[in-house]
Amino acid sequence: MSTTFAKDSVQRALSAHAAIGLLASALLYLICLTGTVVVFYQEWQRIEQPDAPEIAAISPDAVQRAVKAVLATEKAKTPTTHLYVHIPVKELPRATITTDHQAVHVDTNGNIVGPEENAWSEFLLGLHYALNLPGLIGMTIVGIFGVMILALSLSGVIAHPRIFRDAFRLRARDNEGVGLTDWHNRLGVWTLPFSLAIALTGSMIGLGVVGANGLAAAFYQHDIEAAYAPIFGKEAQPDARAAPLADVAAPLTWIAQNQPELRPTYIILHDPGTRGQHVQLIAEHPQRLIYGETYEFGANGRYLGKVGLSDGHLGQQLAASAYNLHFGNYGGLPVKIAYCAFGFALTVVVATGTSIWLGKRERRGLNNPRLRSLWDAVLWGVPLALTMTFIARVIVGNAASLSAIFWSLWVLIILAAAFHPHPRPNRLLQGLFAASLLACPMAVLLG
Amino acid sequence: MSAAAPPIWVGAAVMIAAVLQLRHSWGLPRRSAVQNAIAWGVMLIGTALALVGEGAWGLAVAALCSMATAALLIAYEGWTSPRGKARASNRRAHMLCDQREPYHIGRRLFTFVLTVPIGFGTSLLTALGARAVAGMAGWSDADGNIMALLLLPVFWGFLIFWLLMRPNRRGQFAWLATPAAAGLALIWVGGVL
Repeated sequence: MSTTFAKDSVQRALSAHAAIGLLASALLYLICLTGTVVVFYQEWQRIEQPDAPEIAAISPDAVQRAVKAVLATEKAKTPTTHLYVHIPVKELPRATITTDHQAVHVDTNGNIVGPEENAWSEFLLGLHYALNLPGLIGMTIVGIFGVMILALSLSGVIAHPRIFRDAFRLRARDNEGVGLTDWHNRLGVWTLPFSLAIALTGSMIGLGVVGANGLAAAFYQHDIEAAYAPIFGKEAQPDARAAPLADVAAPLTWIAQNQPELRPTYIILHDPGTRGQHVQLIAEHPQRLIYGETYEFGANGRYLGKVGLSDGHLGQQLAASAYNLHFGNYGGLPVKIAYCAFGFALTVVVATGTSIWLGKRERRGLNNPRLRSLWDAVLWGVPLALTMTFIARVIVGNAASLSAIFWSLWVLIILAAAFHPHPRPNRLLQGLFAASLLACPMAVLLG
Repeated sequence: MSAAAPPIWVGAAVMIAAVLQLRHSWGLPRRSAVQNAIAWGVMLIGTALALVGEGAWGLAVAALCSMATAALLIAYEGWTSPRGKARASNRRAHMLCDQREPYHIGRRLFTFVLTVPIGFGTSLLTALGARAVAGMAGWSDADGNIMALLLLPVFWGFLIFWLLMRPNRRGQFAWLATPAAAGLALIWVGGVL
């Protein structure tokens, strides 16, 4: 490769890096920041509802009684199509039953204790997963941003020929943009394996539906379920005629007797109270990256087989591993802490990218206060709006419209920054964010 | 993890050693291919040990350990680095025009259309083409479908970068049309179109 060509390629890669970064930076920052916070999804739920009953285990018979009790409260409603029982686990020692209509905690005897109240955790997850957009549009958009991280990683490495050679050089205190650039490049290099894993799994999950539609159109005569069936198993044929409630205790007993080393996490009852009902039990396999294996049972509790996520085709194992690899819930608290730290580092990389670009322009005498002010509104407006939703959740309660609060507040901050770029809003927003951050634990303690 | 041999921790320790060796080799005053090769060789051995020990889970945990080591080294470097006098790079990214330069809005919008919607379409067709080849090669549907779902973002991410690296439109069109046509032909042969 000639020097001229190499220089040309490096310059083009820098332009590509900047183009993708500037196009994606604001929402990418939001997605990375919420992803960092949502690593502690289970822990947030415990903080949100500290008085929910916490139990180490629940007996199979108690689960059966709980399912019956929950369905009895819904007799006047449209029959639920699915019923999920969350089995207590170390990270979230709560037994919770979720239907199409409600989610309730139950105690060790299978009695309903009260509703599940985790609106903020769900809002946060929805914001990260789909930008709170309905349907599959949001997920697809977030998936596209995962692709942007892949393209940014590639262009970033090519645009900086010394990036590996300087990988341990951090002039953290240098001003005039040197420190900022070093933070961006060092964190970028050392989180590269993490960023690529997160981006690849995230984009695979986000674009999964679009990809599955393509697979269905090309290979399965537009039947999307048929495209997923070889990976996650087939849905059983529904039969809406009434039938006695399925035996959900037997699967738990079966797994305890036959696979005692596994950790059941969920029971899913499809079409409860109908002839088409059947039961799936999801169980975690220790020291595996897969989220679990799906064990299938008939309505009478007879074991029918497993889907093969643990030992089936490589593709099945890969698909089942994507979720844990993305969310970091495969090694307890230490892995979650590592994911939070690396997620924060990735967020800093995204945040500093645009700041570096703005700094370069300003050093060339091209001041654009409005652009700078808008970027401040992104950098500090997102965490401020997030903490405000948490405070709203604690003060107003589970019914607070958290999505509306977050988006309207962030849009207001952006509009204010656009119309009043002088003085720069960063100090004000930083102060407000610090105050709201301090107010969060106080609100929890007092609330 | 078996009680007799905990290879994941051995793998993690070897990967940490590889990071330390990289710190040494990249810190040398002159580039040393031998020292770099030792570092990457040790990294490969650590990866293999972690994989053999506990599969993908082991590799994921060992990789986190090595990244955490690098983060600690970087933190130390940042903590101890003196305030320098170096000036930051002012390399232009040519993203926004400087004073009195034309905006080229149309050209930029067209690049966006080529890389995002059309690039996505090309990537989807290419991924589905690969799925068709997998099917014809006797792969299971599960493996073929997941490969396609995995290749879609990989192709697209690479394509966005590659299209933006092309110096002219002709090159961009070629890199969009060729894989799309190949993918479509393969789907025609191996799919139900």
